[in-house]
Amino acid sequence: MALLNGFKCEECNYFTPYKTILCPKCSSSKIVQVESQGAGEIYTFTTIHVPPEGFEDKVPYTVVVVKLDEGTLVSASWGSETKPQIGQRVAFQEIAGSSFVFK
Amino acid sequence: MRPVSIIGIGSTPFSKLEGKGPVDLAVEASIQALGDAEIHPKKIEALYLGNFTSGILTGQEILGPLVANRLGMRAIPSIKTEGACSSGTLAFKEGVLAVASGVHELVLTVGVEKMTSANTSKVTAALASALDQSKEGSCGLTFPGVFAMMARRHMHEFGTTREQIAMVSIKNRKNGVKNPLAQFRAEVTMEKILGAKPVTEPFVLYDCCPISDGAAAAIICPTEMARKLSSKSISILSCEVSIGNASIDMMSDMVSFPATVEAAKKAFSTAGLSTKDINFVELHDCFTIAEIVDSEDLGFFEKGEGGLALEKGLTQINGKLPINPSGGLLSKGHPVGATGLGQIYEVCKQLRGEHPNQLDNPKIGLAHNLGGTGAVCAITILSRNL
Repeated sequence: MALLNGFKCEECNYFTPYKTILCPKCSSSKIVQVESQGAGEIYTFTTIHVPPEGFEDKVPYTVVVVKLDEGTLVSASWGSETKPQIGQRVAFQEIAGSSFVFK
Repeated sequence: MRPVSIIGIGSTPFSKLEGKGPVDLAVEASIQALGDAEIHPKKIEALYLGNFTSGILTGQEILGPLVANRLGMRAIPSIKTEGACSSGTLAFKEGVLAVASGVHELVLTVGVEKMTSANTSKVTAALASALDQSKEGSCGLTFPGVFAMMARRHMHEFGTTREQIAMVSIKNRKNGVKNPLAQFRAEVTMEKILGAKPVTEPFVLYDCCPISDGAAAAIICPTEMARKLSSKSISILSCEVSIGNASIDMMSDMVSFPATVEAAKKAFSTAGLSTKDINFVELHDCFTIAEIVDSEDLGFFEKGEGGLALEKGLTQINGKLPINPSGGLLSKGHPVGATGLGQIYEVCKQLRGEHPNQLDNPKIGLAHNLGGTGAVCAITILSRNL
């Protein structure tokens, strides 16, 4: 478990872990850097057997979409051996390459 | 804006078309459309070409001028449109605007894609370029992956069953049997689908559209001119485009595409119609779940009830609202940049009474073309010119 650096809009409270200049929800420029607890739940997931170029040696691998407690959906690599379940509580672990890892 | 019509259509088969590059395919579809309209190429005042992956997969760009030159055209504007899998209808939309505004009288719109010359992982990566590479790309997510995740969530929220999702494939494969342009012309059974090996769980191969080559074209002119020149012209009641969410972090859920909802609102409003007026639909079933989600987002069924509608047979050829009588992307194929114009071609064929799966006297048809993960949607409503 680790803190997740991100950005928050002071106008509409939208949180994103991705760098942004204007708020992608309300277009406000009042963006501040914040640290998120990186906590959330599994929104949905899939296990990929037919990969894109560059991921051939990783199959099968699981990708999850996490609904952060701040409300934002993020795609991430699954960092556990056990199969995820929708609604399961998860925590941010690390950034591997440029991908978020949750388990 | 003046009323505009389609005066000619053309399409190559959607399949693995050996020995033909993107320019060859676009030229073939264009010549068909010009012949159908009985219009000399020199009369065309502008060319709009939709394409997504030719640069990545074939190393060939500048398709517009190449295609125009091969048709004997010089000194006209040529514009390429890109909106991933909706590139074709975006080209059509530009043509509609150019004629409706009075800038041009006769324009050619063509969509094309050459995909089968590359291997599956390269094509998967090329298609995945329509995901936000800085976000979804880094965890190895693919298009089949995103739609599989949508399927899992739809099942979780609404109780949509695996069998209902598979029924999309069974229906569309059945519709494709009679379509001479379709890539897959054999039926598939529930048993075969449920027993197939996984692609992106819970999806198997039969949940995914094939990799295809193909091109489709349409010629647009003012309706007043169309009435004089042709007895089979098709009226463009509306063609509307909306962007939606281009990456997952922009989405508030994964069971609906706001791009479809918004484009549909605009398309119905411009045409002065509601869902009840539509006799049949060609929609963007790039994956099985997409047909269920699209049919709900277009307003034909309540959210969560698309699977049930399918189970009741409402969307069969003989149902209340036939969906994808052409076989859809799942059966007909999905040469991505050509698909939108391919759908428009199929709707025109139905309205002209010339379709291999001809419906009983349809008057108004709708084509729904989606790009990316719902990043952009283009909806066209067409009717016969009476």
